[in-house]
Amino acid sequence: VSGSRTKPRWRRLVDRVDRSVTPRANAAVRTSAFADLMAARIRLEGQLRRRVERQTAAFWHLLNLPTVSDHRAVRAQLVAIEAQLRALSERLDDAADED
Amino acid sequence: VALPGLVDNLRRDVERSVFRARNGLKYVTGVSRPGVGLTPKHEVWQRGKARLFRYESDQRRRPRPLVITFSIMGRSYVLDLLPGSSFVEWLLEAGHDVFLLDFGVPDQADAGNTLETYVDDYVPRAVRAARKAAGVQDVDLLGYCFGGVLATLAVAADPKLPVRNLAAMATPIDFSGMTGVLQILVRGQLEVDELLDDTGNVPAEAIHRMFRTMKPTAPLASYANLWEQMWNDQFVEGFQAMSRWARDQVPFPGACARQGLELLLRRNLLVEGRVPLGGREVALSSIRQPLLTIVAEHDHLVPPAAARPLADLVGSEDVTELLVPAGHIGLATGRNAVRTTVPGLTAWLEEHDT
Repeated sequence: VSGSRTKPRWRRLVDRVDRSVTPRANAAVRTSAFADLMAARIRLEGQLRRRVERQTAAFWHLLNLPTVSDHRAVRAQLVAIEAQLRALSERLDDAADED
Repeated sequence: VALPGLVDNLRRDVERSVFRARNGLKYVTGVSRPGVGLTPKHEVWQRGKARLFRYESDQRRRPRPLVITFSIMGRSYVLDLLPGSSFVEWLLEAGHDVFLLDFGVPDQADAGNTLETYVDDYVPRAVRAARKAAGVQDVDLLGYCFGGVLATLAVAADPKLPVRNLAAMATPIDFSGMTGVLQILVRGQLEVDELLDDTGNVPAEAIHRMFRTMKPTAPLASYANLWEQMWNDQFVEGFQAMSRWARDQVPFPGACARQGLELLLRRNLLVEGRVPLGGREVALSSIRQPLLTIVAEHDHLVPPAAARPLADLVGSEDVTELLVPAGHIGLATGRNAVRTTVPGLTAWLEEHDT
């Protein structure tokens, strides 16, 4: 009895579909049409995200509440402080290594 | 068919149905997720988000430690996935003193990390920290995937780096055959800046999507396998751990992505053997150490054609290739890892002990 005969019928069906679809799907994702589509999708997602952010920011500012971009500005300042602390701590580590 | 055989088959089918139902419920509800990265280890060095871990072992038999440089993409626990199914565990059993360099999860503070951050700073410092922790003169260095690129460049950039033997596992050198989102970036249809999120990094979700589009129908076969093997606790556990890892991507530092796209993808400079880094040119021909390239035969991310050129670019006179009949991840996690990768690597290192 061959290995494939011991497989359940549903599995043989899935394997058949897989064998037929996979090479075509793999070839499709390597075409320039797919690349164009992906690029357009990623660009569109970015534009939508920025538009939603702008419009919700206006709304939250009306209510005198902080927005994502406000949080982002505060986070950028914290990151700058963290970077300075890291540089300082690395310099101390380097000095200790040299000793 | 004899009656006892029929009864046995029936009993087996009923048992499997019960286990299948139990495991299916566990899987769907998300209870009893297997723990990953459980082999005991301790941190020996840290800089920024990068950490160097040393795995506990009472079986160390080799004269020098093996430092593994993991990729900037993905989580390093794939090398220590599950007890009994762990690349690290198999290396420890083979007598290695294993160190793992994990670059951590980049955030906004790491958006400015460049290739030089890793090649000139993290990797050499980690190598020296491992040497110090193990109390030896030099180490063996193993780079995996993009970690192999970083390890190779670090050795090429600093001839004094205390590395005795270099092994590059599934390491991309020729980027000309890249597909999916990478192809879009190479062609200039999209710029890295369009992928960055507000932390200045390429988000983990974008990386997950990039990998998913490379093999779009892969979930069909893997979920069919899961359903067929749902009664098997060990299989379900392995499936859960692996699918968790596949989804569990980390952001990619924005500056490194811009630089990598220009130097490695668009100009494909690694395959020419010379990469400008930190104001000088790093030549792969400066590598004099014995080199082992571990190539995965069925790798769809780093196909053999992308990994093989390294052997001809280094200045080493002693170059060996280990071809493993596995995919990119199976090279370090599947049965081929325990049958071929670990014994092959160990044997090669033993040949190059002196």
